[in-house]
Amino acid sequence: MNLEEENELDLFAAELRQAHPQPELSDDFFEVLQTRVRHSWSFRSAMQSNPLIRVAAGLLVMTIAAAPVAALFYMFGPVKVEKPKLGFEPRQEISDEGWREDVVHEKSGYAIIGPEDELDFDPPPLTAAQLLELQQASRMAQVSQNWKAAQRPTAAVAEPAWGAFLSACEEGAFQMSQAQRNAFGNSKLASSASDEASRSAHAAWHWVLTGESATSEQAPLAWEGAPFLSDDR
Amino acid sequence: MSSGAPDDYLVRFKAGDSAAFDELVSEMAPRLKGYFLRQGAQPSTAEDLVQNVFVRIIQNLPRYQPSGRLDAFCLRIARNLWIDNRRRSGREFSSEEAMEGLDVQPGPVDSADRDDRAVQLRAALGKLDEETRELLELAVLQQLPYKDVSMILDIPIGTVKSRVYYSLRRLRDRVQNLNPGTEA
Repeated sequence: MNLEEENELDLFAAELRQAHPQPELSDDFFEVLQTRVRHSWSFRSAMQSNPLIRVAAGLLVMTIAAAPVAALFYMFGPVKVEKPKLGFEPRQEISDEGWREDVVHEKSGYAIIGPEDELDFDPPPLTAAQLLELQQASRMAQVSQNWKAAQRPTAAVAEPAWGAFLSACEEGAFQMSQAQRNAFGNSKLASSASDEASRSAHAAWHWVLTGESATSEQAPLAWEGAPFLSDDR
Repeated sequence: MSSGAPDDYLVRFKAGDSAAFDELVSEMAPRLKGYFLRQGAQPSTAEDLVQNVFVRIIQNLPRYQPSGRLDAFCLRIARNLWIDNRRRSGREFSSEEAMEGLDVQPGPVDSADRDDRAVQLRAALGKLDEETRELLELAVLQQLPYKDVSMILDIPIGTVKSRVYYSLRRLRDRVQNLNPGTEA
Protein backbone atom coordinates (compact mmCIF):
# COMPACT_ATOMS: atom_id res chain seq x y z
CA MET A 1 0.00 0.00 0.00
CA ASN A 2 1.62 3.21 -1.13
CA LEU A 3 0.66 6.69 -0.12
CA GLU A 4 -0.94 7.55 -3.43
CA GLU A 5 -3.19 4.55 -3.37
CA GLU A 6 -4.03 5.22 0.24
CA ASN A 7 -5.14 8.71 -0.64
CA GLU A 8 -7.21 7.36 -3.51
CA LEU A 9 -8.92 4.96 -1.18
CA ASP A 10 -9.56 7.75 1.30
CA LEU A 11 -11.21 9.75 -1.45
CA PHE A 12 -13.20 6.74 -2.50
CA ALA A 13 -14.31 6.17 1.09
CA ALA A 14 -15.44 9.80 1.33
CA GLU A 15 -17.35 9.39 -1.91
CA LEU A 16 -18.90 6.24 -0.56
CA ARG A 17 -20.04 8.06 2.56
CA GLN A 18 -21.43 10.83 0.45
CA ALA A 19 -23.40 8.30 -1.54
CA HIS A 20 -24.97 7.02 1.65
CA PRO A 21 -26.52 10.00 3.33
CA GLN A 22 -28.19 9.56 6.69
CA PRO A 23 -31.85 8.71 6.21
CA GLU A 24 -34.55 10.88 7.64
CA LEU A 25 -36.63 9.79 10.54
CA SER A 26 -40.38 9.59 10.48
CA ASP A 27 -42.35 12.45 12.01
CA ASP A 28 -43.61 10.51 15.01
CA PHE A 29 -40.29 8.84 15.71
CA PHE A 30 -39.47 10.86 18.84
CA GLU A 31 -43.03 10.70 20.12
CA VAL A 32 -43.15 6.92 19.80
CA LEU A 33 -39.70 6.62 21.32
CA GLN A 34 -40.66 8.70 24.34
CA THR A 35 -43.75 6.54 24.88
CA ARG A 36 -41.75 3.34 24.66
CA VAL A 37 -39.02 4.62 26.94
CA ARG A 38 -41.58 5.82 29.48
CA HIS A 39 -43.34 2.46 29.56
CA SER A 40 -40.29 0.38 29.21
CA TRP A 41 -39.92 -2.05 32.01
CA SER A 42 -37.76 -5.06 32.00
CA PHE A 43 -37.45 -7.73 34.59
CA ARG A 44 -33.70 -7.48 34.31
CA SER A 45 -33.53 -3.76 35.01
CA ALA A 46 -36.03 -4.10 37.84
CA MET A 47 -33.94 -6.86 39.37
CA GLN A 48 -30.86 -4.70 39.11
CA SER A 49 -32.43 -1.60 40.58
CA ASN A 50 -34.63 -3.01 43.35
CA PRO A 51 -33.22 -5.42 45.95
CA LEU A 52 -36.72 -6.26 47.19
CA ILE A 53 -37.63 -7.59 43.78
CA ARG A 54 -34.48 -9.70 43.83
CA VAL A 55 -35.46 -11.18 47.19
CA ALA A 56 -39.03 -11.81 46.03
CA ALA A 57 -37.82 -13.43 42.83
CA GLY A 58 -35.46 -15.63 44.78
CA LEU A 59 -38.23 -16.78 47.09
CA LEU A 60 -40.47 -17.42 44.12
CA VAL A 61 -37.84 -19.53 42.39
CA MET A 62 -37.15 -21.48 45.57
CA THR A 63 -40.84 -22.12 46.09
CA ILE A 64 -41.34 -23.28 42.53
CA ALA A 65 -38.29 -25.49 42.62
CA ALA A 66 -39.07 -26.98 46.02
CA ALA A 67 -41.81 -29.33 44.82
CA PRO A 68 -39.89 -31.09 41.99
CA VAL A 69 -36.71 -31.20 44.06
CA ALA A 70 -38.60 -32.77 46.94
CA ALA A 71 -40.16 -35.26 44.53
CA LEU A 72 -36.76 -36.20 43.16
CA PHE A 73 -35.38 -36.65 46.65
CA TYR A 74 -38.37 -38.81 47.48
CA MET A 75 -37.84 -40.97 44.42
CA PHE A 76 -34.05 -41.23 44.37
CA GLY A 77 -33.07 -40.19 47.84
CA PRO A 78 -31.76 -42.48 50.56
CA VAL A 79 -34.17 -45.09 51.86
CA LYS A 80 -35.60 -44.21 55.18
CA VAL A 81 -35.12 -46.74 57.93
CA GLU A 82 -38.28 -47.35 59.86
CA LYS A 83 -37.46 -46.73 63.46
CA PRO A 84 -39.53 -48.65 66.01
CA LYS A 85 -41.83 -46.52 68.03
CA LEU A 86 -40.88 -46.26 71.62
CA GLY A 87 -43.83 -46.07 73.95
CA PHE A 88 -46.31 -47.93 76.05
CA GLU A 89 -49.63 -49.07 74.76
CA PRO A 90 -51.86 -50.76 77.34
CA ARG A 91 -53.75 -53.83 76.26
CA GLN A 92 -57.31 -53.22 75.37
CA GLU A 93 -58.50 -56.40 77.08
CA ILE A 94 -57.05 -58.82 79.56
CA SER A 95 -56.53 -62.29 78.29
CA ASP A 96 -58.36 -64.60 80.68
CA GLU A 97 -57.34 -67.77 78.97
CA GLY A 98 -56.74 -70.48 81.54
CA TRP A 99 -57.82 -68.26 84.39
CA ARG A 100 -60.87 -68.66 86.54
CA GLU A 101 -61.57 -66.27 89.27
CA ASP A 102 -62.18 -67.72 92.71
CA VAL A 103 -61.40 -71.25 91.69
CA VAL A 104 -62.28 -73.59 94.49
CA HIS A 105 -59.95 -76.48 94.99
CA GLU A 106 -62.22 -79.41 94.72
CA LYS A 107 -60.08 -81.65 96.83
CA SER A 108 -59.38 -79.37 99.74
CA GLY A 109 -62.54 -77.34 99.56
CA TYR A 110 -60.57 -74.16 100.22
CA ALA A 111 -60.54 -71.20 97.92
CA ILE A 112 -57.24 -70.60 96.27
CA ILE A 113 -55.83 -67.50 97.77
CA GLY A 114 -54.63 -64.77 95.53
CA PRO A 115 -51.30 -63.11 95.72
CA GLU A 116 -52.83 -60.32 97.74
CA ASP A 117 -53.81 -62.78 100.40
CA GLU A 118 -50.53 -64.59 100.63
CA LEU A 119 -49.18 -65.36 104.00
CA ASP A 120 -46.87 -63.03 105.66
CA PHE A 121 -43.57 -64.82 105.37
CA ASP A 122 -41.87 -62.43 107.63
CA PRO A 123 -43.93 -62.60 110.79
CA PRO A 124 -42.77 -60.99 113.98
CA PRO A 125 -40.68 -63.31 116.17
CA LEU A 126 -42.60 -65.40 118.64
CA THR A 127 -42.40 -64.64 122.26
CA ALA A 128 -41.31 -67.31 124.73
CA ALA A 129 -44.88 -67.86 125.87
CA GLN A 130 -46.08 -68.18 122.28
CA LEU A 131 -43.26 -70.56 121.50
CA LEU A 132 -44.09 -72.71 124.49
CA GLU A 133 -47.75 -72.70 123.58
CA LEU A 134 -46.92 -73.70 120.04
CA GLN A 135 -44.67 -76.52 121.19
CA GLN A 136 -47.31 -77.75 123.55
CA ALA A 137 -49.94 -77.66 120.81
CA SER A 138 -47.62 -79.55 118.53
CA ARG A 139 -46.93 -82.21 121.11
CA MET A 140 -50.62 -82.42 121.86
CA ALA A 141 -51.35 -83.02 118.20
CA GLN A 142 -48.67 -85.67 118.09
CA VAL A 143 -50.08 -87.35 121.18
CA SER A 144 -53.50 -87.32 119.61
CA GLN A 145 -52.22 -88.78 116.39
CA ASN A 146 -50.26 -91.50 118.15
CA TRP A 147 -53.08 -92.31 120.42
CA LYS A 148 -55.49 -92.73 117.52
CA ALA A 149 -53.00 -94.93 115.77
CA ALA A 150 -52.66 -97.04 118.86
CA GLN A 151 -56.40 -97.34 119.06
CA ARG A 152 -56.78 -98.26 115.39
CA PRO A 153 -58.25 -101.68 115.91
CA THR A 154 -60.96 -100.03 117.85
CA ALA A 155 -61.30 -97.08 115.47
CA ALA A 156 -65.03 -97.32 115.62
CA VAL A 157 -64.95 -96.22 119.20
CA ALA A 158 -61.96 -93.91 118.79
CA GLU A 159 -63.75 -90.70 119.34
CA PRO A 160 -65.46 -91.69 122.62
CA ALA A 161 -62.21 -93.24 123.80
CA TRP A 162 -60.34 -90.08 122.89
CA GLY A 163 -62.82 -88.09 124.92
CA ALA A 164 -62.23 -90.35 127.91
CA PHE A 165 -58.52 -90.00 127.36
CA LEU A 166 -58.75 -86.21 127.36
CA SER A 167 -60.80 -86.32 130.50
CA ALA A 168 -58.17 -88.45 132.10
CA CYS A 169 -55.54 -86.03 130.85
CA GLU A 170 -57.32 -83.14 132.38
CA GLU A 171 -57.55 -84.93 135.64
CA GLY A 172 -53.92 -85.94 135.45
CA ALA A 173 -52.94 -82.43 134.60
CA PHE A 174 -54.84 -81.13 137.51
CA GLN A 175 -53.11 -83.57 139.79
CA MET A 176 -49.75 -82.74 138.31
CA SER A 177 -50.24 -79.08 138.71
CA GLN A 178 -51.29 -79.71 142.24
CA ALA A 179 -48.16 -81.67 142.84
CA GLN A 180 -46.04 -78.95 141.32
CA ARG A 181 -47.67 -76.42 143.48
CA ASN A 182 -46.63 -78.59 146.38
CA ALA A 183 -43.07 -77.69 145.35
CA PHE A 184 -41.36 -80.89 145.07
CA GLY A 185 -40.12 -81.66 141.60
CA ASN A 186 -39.04 -85.20 142.43
CA SER A 187 -41.93 -86.14 144.63
CA LYS A 188 -44.22 -88.77 143.54
CA LEU A 189 -47.42 -87.59 142.11
CA ALA A 190 -50.27 -88.42 144.23
CA SER A 191 -52.63 -90.07 142.01
CA SER A 192 -55.92 -91.51 142.57
CA ALA A 193 -55.88 -93.01 139.11
CA SER A 194 -55.62 -96.58 139.30
CA ASP A 195 -56.06 -97.81 135.86
CA GLU A 196 -53.62 -97.95 133.01
CA ALA A 197 -55.36 -95.27 130.95
CA SER A 198 -55.06 -92.75 133.69
CA ARG A 199 -51.37 -93.37 134.07
CA SER A 200 -50.77 -93.12 130.39
CA ALA A 201 -52.78 -89.98 130.18
CA HIS A 202 -50.87 -88.56 133.07
CA ALA A 203 -47.56 -89.29 131.41
CA ALA A 204 -48.76 -88.00 128.11
CA TRP A 205 -49.93 -84.82 129.61
CA HIS A 206 -46.62 -84.33 131.35
CA TRP A 207 -44.87 -84.72 128.03
CA VAL A 208 -47.22 -82.38 126.34
CA LEU A 209 -46.67 -79.68 128.91
CA THR A 210 -42.92 -80.01 129.38
CA GLY A 211 -41.67 -81.95 126.41
CA GLU A 212 -39.83 -84.27 128.75
CA SER A 213 -40.43 -87.96 129.12
CA ALA A 214 -41.56 -88.71 132.58
CA THR A 215 -39.22 -90.92 134.55
CA SER A 216 -40.39 -93.50 136.96
CA GLU A 217 -39.65 -91.06 139.75
CA GLN A 218 -41.49 -88.23 138.12
CA ALA A 219 -44.28 -90.38 136.87
CA PRO A 220 -44.56 -93.47 138.95
CA LEU A 221 -47.41 -94.53 136.82
CA ALA A 222 -44.78 -95.61 134.27
CA TRP A 223 -44.64 -95.36 130.50
CA GLU A 224 -45.27 -98.75 129.48
CA GLY A 225 -48.92 -98.08 129.12
CA ALA A 226 -48.40 -95.04 127.00
CA PRO A 227 -46.64 -96.19 123.87
CA PHE A 228 -48.19 -93.37 121.91
CA LEU A 229 -45.76 -90.93 123.51
CA SER A 230 -42.85 -92.28 121.51
CA ASP A 231 -41.73 -90.42 118.39
CA ASP A 232 -40.32 -93.57 116.97
CA ARG A 233 -43.67 -95.07 116.28
CA MET B 1 -18.58 11.20 19.62
CA SER B 2 -16.38 10.24 22.50
CA SER B 3 -17.32 8.48 25.69
CA GLY B 4 -16.04 8.82 29.19
CA ALA B 5 -15.64 12.53 28.66
CA PRO B 6 -17.64 15.05 30.65
CA ASP B 7 -19.87 15.60 27.63
CA ASP B 8 -20.84 11.91 27.44
CA TYR B 9 -24.57 12.00 26.80
CA LEU B 10 -25.35 9.03 29.01
CA VAL B 11 -23.18 10.32 31.85
CA ARG B 12 -25.03 13.60 31.70
CA PHE B 13 -28.36 11.78 31.49
CA LYS B 14 -27.55 9.68 34.55
CA ALA B 15 -26.60 12.87 36.34
CA GLY B 16 -30.10 14.22 35.71
CA ASP B 17 -29.71 16.10 32.43
CA SER B 18 -32.79 14.92 30.53
CA ALA B 19 -31.84 16.94 27.44
CA ALA B 20 -28.73 14.80 27.00
CA PHE B 21 -30.80 11.82 25.98
CA ASP B 22 -32.64 13.89 23.36
CA GLU B 23 -29.29 15.02 21.98
CA LEU B 24 -28.10 11.44 21.84
CA VAL B 25 -31.22 10.37 19.96
CA SER B 26 -30.96 13.27 17.53
CA GLU B 27 -27.38 12.41 16.74
CA MET B 28 -27.49 8.64 16.68
CA ALA B 29 -30.98 7.75 15.43
CA PRO B 30 -30.31 8.64 11.72
CA ARG B 31 -27.00 6.81 11.80
CA LEU B 32 -28.59 3.74 13.34
CA LYS B 33 -31.46 3.79 10.88
CA GLY B 34 -28.97 3.94 8.01
CA TYR B 35 -27.11 1.01 9.52
CA PHE B 36 -30.27 -1.12 9.69
CA LEU B 37 -31.38 -0.12 6.21
CA ARG B 38 -28.05 -1.01 4.70
CA GLN B 39 -28.13 -4.34 6.52
CA GLY B 40 -31.39 -5.13 4.73
CA ALA B 41 -34.13 -4.00 7.13
CA GLN B 42 -37.37 -2.46 5.88
CA PRO B 43 -37.81 1.23 6.76
CA SER B 44 -40.53 0.56 9.36
CA THR B 45 -38.52 -2.26 10.86
CA ALA B 46 -35.42 -0.09 10.86
CA GLU B 47 -37.09 2.63 12.91
CA ASP B 48 -38.52 0.05 15.27
CA LEU B 49 -35.07 -1.40 15.76
CA VAL B 50 -33.60 2.06 16.33
CA GLN B 51 -36.14 2.66 19.06
CA ASN B 52 -35.28 -0.71 20.56
CA VAL B 53 -31.66 0.38 20.73
CA PHE B 54 -32.56 3.41 22.84
CA VAL B 55 -34.97 1.45 25.02
CA ARG B 56 -32.23 -1.07 25.74
CA ILE B 57 -29.83 1.76 26.54
CA ILE B 58 -32.31 3.15 29.06
CA GLN B 59 -32.86 -0.26 30.62
CA ASN B 60 -29.14 -0.84 31.00
CA LEU B 61 -28.44 2.68 32.12
CA PRO B 62 -27.82 1.74 35.81
CA ARG B 63 -25.01 -0.58 34.70
CA TYR B 64 -23.54 1.84 32.15
CA GLN B 65 -19.87 2.52 32.68
CA PRO B 66 -18.35 5.00 30.21
CA SER B 67 -15.60 3.26 28.29
CA GLY B 68 -14.81 3.78 24.66
CA ARG B 69 -16.88 5.70 22.18
CA LEU B 70 -20.59 6.11 22.74
CA ASP B 71 -21.43 5.64 19.05
CA ALA B 72 -19.53 2.34 19.08
CA PHE B 73 -21.54 1.38 22.16
CA CYS B 74 -24.80 2.18 20.34
CA LEU B 75 -23.72 0.38 17.18
CA ARG B 76 -22.77 -2.70 19.17
CA ILE B 77 -26.28 -2.80 20.64
CA ALA B 78 -27.71 -2.22 17.16
CA ARG B 79 -25.72 -5.11 15.76
CA ASN B 80 -26.91 -7.46 18.50
CA LEU B 81 -30.51 -6.41 17.92
CA TRP B 82 -30.13 -6.97 14.21
CA ILE B 83 -28.75 -10.46 14.79
CA ASP B 84 -31.65 -11.23 17.14
CA ASN B 85 -34.10 -9.90 14.59
CA ARG B 86 -32.65 -12.13 11.89
CA ARG B 87 -32.83 -15.15 14.15
CA ARG B 88 -36.48 -14.44 14.94
CA SER B 89 -37.36 -13.99 11.29
CA GLY B 90 -35.41 -17.14 10.51
CA ARG B 91 -34.02 -16.01 7.22
CA GLU B 92 -31.02 -14.30 5.72
CA PHE B 93 -31.39 -10.91 4.09
CA SER B 94 -30.06 -10.81 0.56
CA SER B 95 -28.13 -8.02 -1.03
CA GLU B 96 -31.16 -7.14 -3.12
CA GLU B 97 -33.20 -6.50 0.00
CA ALA B 98 -30.45 -4.29 1.28
CA MET B 99 -30.55 -2.45 -1.99
CA GLU B 100 -34.31 -2.02 -1.74
CA GLY B 101 -33.95 -0.49 1.68
CA LEU B 102 -31.35 1.92 0.38
CA ASP B 103 -33.42 2.85 -2.63
CA VAL B 104 -36.27 3.94 -0.44
CA GLN B 105 -34.10 6.60 1.10
CA PRO B 106 -32.11 8.09 -1.78
CA GLY B 107 -29.43 10.60 -0.95
CA PRO B 108 -29.89 14.31 -1.71
CA VAL B 109 -27.77 14.67 -4.78
CA ASP B 110 -27.85 17.66 -7.00
CA SER B 111 -26.74 16.60 -10.38
CA ALA B 112 -27.75 13.63 -12.47
CA ASP B 113 -24.14 12.52 -12.79
CA ARG B 114 -23.61 12.48 -9.10
CA ASP B 115 -26.93 10.72 -8.69
CA ASP B 116 -25.85 8.04 -11.09
CA ARG B 117 -22.51 7.74 -9.31
CA ALA B 118 -24.17 7.42 -5.91
CA VAL B 119 -26.56 4.78 -7.20
CA GLN B 120 -23.66 2.85 -8.61
CA LEU B 121 -21.78 3.06 -5.33
CA ARG B 122 -24.79 1.92 -3.36
CA ALA B 123 -25.40 -0.90 -5.79
CA ALA B 124 -21.79 -1.96 -5.60
CA LEU B 125 -21.88 -1.94 -1.82
CA GLY B 126 -25.11 -3.90 -1.77
CA LYS B 127 -23.59 -6.61 -3.93
CA LEU B 128 -20.82 -7.27 -1.46
CA ASP B 129 -21.08 -10.22 0.83
CA GLU B 130 -22.62 -9.65 4.23
CA GLU B 131 -19.40 -9.66 6.26
CA THR B 132 -17.63 -7.23 3.94
CA ARG B 133 -20.65 -4.98 3.81
CA GLU B 134 -20.84 -4.87 7.59
CA LEU B 135 -17.11 -4.20 7.83
CA LEU B 136 -17.29 -1.25 5.44
CA GLU B 137 -20.42 -0.04 7.17
CA LEU B 138 -18.68 0.25 10.51
CA ALA B 139 -15.23 1.31 9.39
CA VAL B 140 -16.06 3.57 6.43
CA LEU B 141 -19.64 4.78 6.64
CA GLN B 142 -19.89 4.99 10.46
CA GLN B 143 -16.22 5.99 10.68
CA LEU B 144 -15.51 3.95 13.77
CA PRO B 145 -11.86 3.47 14.71
CA TYR B 146 -10.36 0.15 13.71
CA LYS B 147 -10.06 -0.79 17.41
CA ASP B 148 -13.83 -0.45 17.96
CA VAL B 149 -14.60 -2.29 14.72
CA SER B 150 -12.29 -5.03 15.87
CA MET B 151 -14.15 -5.30 19.19
CA ILE B 152 -17.62 -5.22 17.61
CA LEU B 153 -16.85 -7.82 14.96
CA ASP B 154 -14.57 -9.77 17.30
CA ILE B 155 -11.68 -10.01 14.84
CA PRO B 156 -8.09 -8.84 15.20
CA ILE B 157 -7.41 -5.19 14.47
CA GLY B 158 -4.82 -6.05 11.82
CA THR B 159 -7.40 -8.17 10.05
CA VAL B 160 -9.79 -5.24 10.16
CA LYS B 161 -7.21 -2.93 8.54
CA SER B 162 -6.30 -5.31 5.77
CA ARG B 163 -9.90 -6.30 5.08
CA VAL B 164 -10.99 -2.66 4.89
CA TYR B 165 -8.16 -1.85 2.51
CA TYR B 166 -8.79 -4.76 0.15
CA SER B 167 -12.54 -4.34 0.32
CA LEU B 168 -12.34 -0.67 -0.60
CA ARG B 169 -9.94 -1.38 -3.43
CA ARG B 170 -12.10 -4.17 -4.77
CA LEU B 171 -15.22 -2.00 -4.50
CA ARG B 172 -13.46 0.89 -6.23
CA ASP B 173 -12.29 -1.37 -9.04
CA ARG B 174 -15.77 -2.75 -9.41
CA VAL B 175 -17.28 0.74 -9.74
CA GLN B 176 -14.52 1.76 -12.19
CA ASN B 177 -15.29 -1.25 -14.30
CA LEU B 178 -18.88 -0.08 -14.51
CA ASN B 179 -17.65 3.33 -15.80
CA PRO B 180 -14.35 2.72 -17.60
CA GLY B 181 -14.02 6.37 -18.68
CA THR B 182 -14.26 7.90 -15.24
CA GLU B 183 -11.85 7.94 -12.30
CA ALA B 184 -12.59 8.13 -8.71
